[in-house]
Amino acid sequence: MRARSQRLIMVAIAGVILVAAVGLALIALRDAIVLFYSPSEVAAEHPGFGERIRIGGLVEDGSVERPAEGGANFVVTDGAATIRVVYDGSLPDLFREGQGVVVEGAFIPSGDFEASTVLAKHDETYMPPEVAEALRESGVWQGEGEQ
Amino acid sequence: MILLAIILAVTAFVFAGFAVWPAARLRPRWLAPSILAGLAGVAGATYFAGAQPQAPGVPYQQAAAERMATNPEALGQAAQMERLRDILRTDETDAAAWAQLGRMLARSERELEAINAFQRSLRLELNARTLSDLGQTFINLNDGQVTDEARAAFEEAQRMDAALPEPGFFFGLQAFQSGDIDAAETIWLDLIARLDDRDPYKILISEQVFQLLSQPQVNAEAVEAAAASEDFDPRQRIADMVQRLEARVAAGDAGFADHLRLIRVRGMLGDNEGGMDALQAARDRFAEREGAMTILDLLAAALQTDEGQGE
Amino acid sequence: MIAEIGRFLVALAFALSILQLLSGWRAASTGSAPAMRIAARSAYGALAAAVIAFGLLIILFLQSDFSVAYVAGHSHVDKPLFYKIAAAWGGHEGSMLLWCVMLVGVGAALARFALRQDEQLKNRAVSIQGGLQILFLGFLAFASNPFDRLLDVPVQGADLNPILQDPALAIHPPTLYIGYVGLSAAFSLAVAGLIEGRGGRAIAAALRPWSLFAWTALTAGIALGAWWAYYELGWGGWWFWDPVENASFMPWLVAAALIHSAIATEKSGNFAGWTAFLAIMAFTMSTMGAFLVRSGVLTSVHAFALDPERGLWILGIMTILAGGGLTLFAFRSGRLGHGDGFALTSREAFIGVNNLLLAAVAGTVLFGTLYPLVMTAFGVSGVSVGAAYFNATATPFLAALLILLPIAPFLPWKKDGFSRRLAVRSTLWILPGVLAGLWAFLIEASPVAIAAAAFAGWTLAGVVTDLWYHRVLQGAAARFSLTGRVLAHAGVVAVALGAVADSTGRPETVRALAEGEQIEIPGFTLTLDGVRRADGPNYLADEARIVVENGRVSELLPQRRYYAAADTTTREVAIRSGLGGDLYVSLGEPRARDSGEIAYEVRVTFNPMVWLLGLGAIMIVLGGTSASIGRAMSRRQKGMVS
Repeated sequence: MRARSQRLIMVAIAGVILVAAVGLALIALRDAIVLFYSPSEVAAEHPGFGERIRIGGLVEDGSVERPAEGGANFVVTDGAATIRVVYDGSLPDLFREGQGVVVEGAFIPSGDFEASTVLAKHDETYMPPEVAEALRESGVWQGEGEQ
Repeated sequence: MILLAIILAVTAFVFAGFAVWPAARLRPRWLAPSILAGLAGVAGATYFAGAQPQAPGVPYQQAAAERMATNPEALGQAAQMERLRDILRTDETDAAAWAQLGRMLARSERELEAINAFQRSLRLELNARTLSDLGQTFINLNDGQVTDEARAAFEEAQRMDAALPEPGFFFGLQAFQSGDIDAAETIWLDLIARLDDRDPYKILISEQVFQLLSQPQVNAEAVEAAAASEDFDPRQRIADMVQRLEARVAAGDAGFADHLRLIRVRGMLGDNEGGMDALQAARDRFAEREGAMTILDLLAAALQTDEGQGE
Repeated sequence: MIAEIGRFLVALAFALSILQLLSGWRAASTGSAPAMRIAARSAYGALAAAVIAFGLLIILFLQSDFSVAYVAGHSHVDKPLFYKIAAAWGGHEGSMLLWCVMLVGVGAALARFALRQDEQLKNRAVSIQGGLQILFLGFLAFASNPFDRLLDVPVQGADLNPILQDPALAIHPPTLYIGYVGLSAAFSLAVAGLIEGRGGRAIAAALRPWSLFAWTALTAGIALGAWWAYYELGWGGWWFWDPVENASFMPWLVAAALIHSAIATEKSGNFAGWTAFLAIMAFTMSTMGAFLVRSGVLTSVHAFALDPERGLWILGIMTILAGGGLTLFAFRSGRLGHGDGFALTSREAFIGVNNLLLAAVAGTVLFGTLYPLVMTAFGVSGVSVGAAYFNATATPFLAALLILLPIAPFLPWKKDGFSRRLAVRSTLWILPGVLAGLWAFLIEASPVAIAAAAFAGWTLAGVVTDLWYHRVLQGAAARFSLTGRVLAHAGVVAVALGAVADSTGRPETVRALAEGEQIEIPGFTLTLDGVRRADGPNYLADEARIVVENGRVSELLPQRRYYAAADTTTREVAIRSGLGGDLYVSLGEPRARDSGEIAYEVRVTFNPMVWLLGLGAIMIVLGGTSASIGRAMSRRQKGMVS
């Protein structure tokens, strides 16, 4: 009898923790979720200013500017649309023109995208999956996997 | 291959025998041998899925020794470069090999490494040729701009070997890029005059100089603005330009570059006769300048061939 | 020829694993002595074959034999000797071979050391382990063989990704893998126990030492990885809640829960089913870690390779592990028996809540990590979950763990144990808690971080009391166990405080500096004194000399390296460590100004009290080691008595 009631209490505690975990997860998820857009989707859907999103595509050849005071500006493209990105941090070492990149940040009223993070590929064979997907849709890239 | 087969068979026997040994005395008698055979069979089948027993191992040292024994001409570019690196691995102080490696790297557009190789070579032994190559690699790295680093290399090269043609050409180019076309013209024409007629660089440089000097002098922004406007007529613009050039030539205050431009634009419009006329005018005017005459002679030859082909 | 012998040895280890599975199974079912010896000898043979194969792979790297695809893809003749050897496990195929070496090592160790008093269970476990070996050796032999050859032999290798050429990263994967693969022993023993219908106590006793050892190695591996990310990636961070990091954190959490619940199960038979469940999940999660790292299904800052086919293999293996293990669990958990029961303020109750909290963290991390995949399955692609989610979900539960942690060691097993003395004692712990909270407030931590610091102060006081109160314990074994417990718990406190301090770090300052120019951050003035060439054996490098002034003058030398063979640039950060924290400087790209001056991008951050994290990790690892030693000693003593 005693053992059973103890077990019931443990189950109750477990229930409380479970509810707390699910509740916390759902609340936190709402704020922390970051949607991915390709440049064409941005052109079609116009995410609002200040909304935290990710954009992926290729760094357009010849578009990288490195202002003398630091930071970098460049253009991300998927072949169909382009987005100008301003970034005042330090570009990752593997960042290169013509290569895949994912930037996280938000649009600012000037129409540029202000990036807080720039992710570049880690090795030769790596293409971020969302970027590969986006490029495949716009027909720029025919990598492995399809056809 | 036979050796490999023996080794694999012995290995299989040792490992399988070790594992199956406790079954050796078991009945039925065939139990142990069949487990043994089963093991060997599974291992063999797994091995042969993708095995390449006929392909010999190629340790780097062996590959390098074979490359060293081969005539470099018979090797591909990558192998040739590797052969040079092999030489340098055994003797880091081979300045000629560093320079050669630098040239090959520069040709395959690996400028940073090429510069490093040239600098290694120059640290061991100063050489005008290598300095000049270093200067050109700096220029390639900077998308054609003659930088101060490149200039320093060419100056050093010219001090060591005044006969070398490249430094003069690139000094001229630097002046040209900074907008001082007259200075560029002087440097280039002097250089062409100085070169021996049999020097293949003479023709090469003359052609380059013609291409550069005869570039139409236009304000890029003005062109864009004009192109954007509605009543833009490229023919009209060219005609205007020809007219301006003609006027200047007729007035006698045209520079050598203006003459070249007129020749080039008439040639482009298919007006060979006009081109020849303009050429003759230039010859009359610059008869004393040997460098200018070299370029004009070349042009004359080119225009005549064009005409010959036309008929 | 060496490569072909290596390939054959892998095939042989695969074949021997099949024999190990079959004969181990027969030995467990019939008690046949020859079958048992064959199973053990198969395990030893497979281990020898795998170890020799691994040795041959290292020889191929030392020879720079580029007729082997894996060597050509990951080495270069100019690479320093140490990294030629480390490259043997630096890429996918080699690391899978290392994984297999460890897996067969666990098989041989089970056959040799486990359960001398219960041979039936041991043979079953050896057999199950043979099954695991078949799965992974099969994957190695058929889908990612490091001995695959190139018919068109390249003149030079492609070099290992330069950011992986690093001492910490050379030993990070082996350590992590010892942890991952060590958990396979717990899996095999739990599955064997369920098949044999053993009681929960016997299973828990059997798997405890293995789990403790594996968890300790996993801790060390994760810490090395975080340290590497801190100084090699050049971002100044050590934990990003990245899928790859979460992949190692989840098995760590599950294993942490396992080593606690197994204590309770062994003592009183409580939580028997839960312990078996955790043992199955821990290794499944480890395999999932490998899947997430290798398949490239999630965007990760650490993603090393994109290979869907291999991802599918590992997914298949994972399905077999989780599906088979949990199905068995569902049918057999009834035989594990019920425990003795326990009171609400007994140690079991606290361990139970500890487990629930750890499971909650593991669950929310799992949910956040896989959420993008789940959404993709619903046709919404490209969703990612930010670090904010993980911070918000994990922190409350981890803080709750800290509150309960110090009380548990003072509670008796099974019985109600809350006394006035304990109440007084724990009231006294509030004072250090308040002090720690005040400290966090002064360094401008966020409210959540202040709370976490207060809990950590409370916990630390409790842990010290634990050491003081139990100092009278008799016997070396008990002392080792106590030291282990106290060290590990104090280490957790140190990591928590380190994370609090880290959360107050200011954002980085990035500026382009020409020679003689300065950056000022609070407390420091940095001047770029000059940049010189500092080439190495297989890279070209710029090295900046940066003079730092904060009362006294010192010098930092960050580098920017270009690895030609891999066509990759990396930065070597320069770090000045102090009690207050690390001054962290990295050198970025040069850029020309209009004046013709060359300015170098310099990036500066001050990371407060990073040493707390390192200290904590070392304490946890030492604690785990000490507890393992204590456990081994007490077993030996018991063995001598009986």
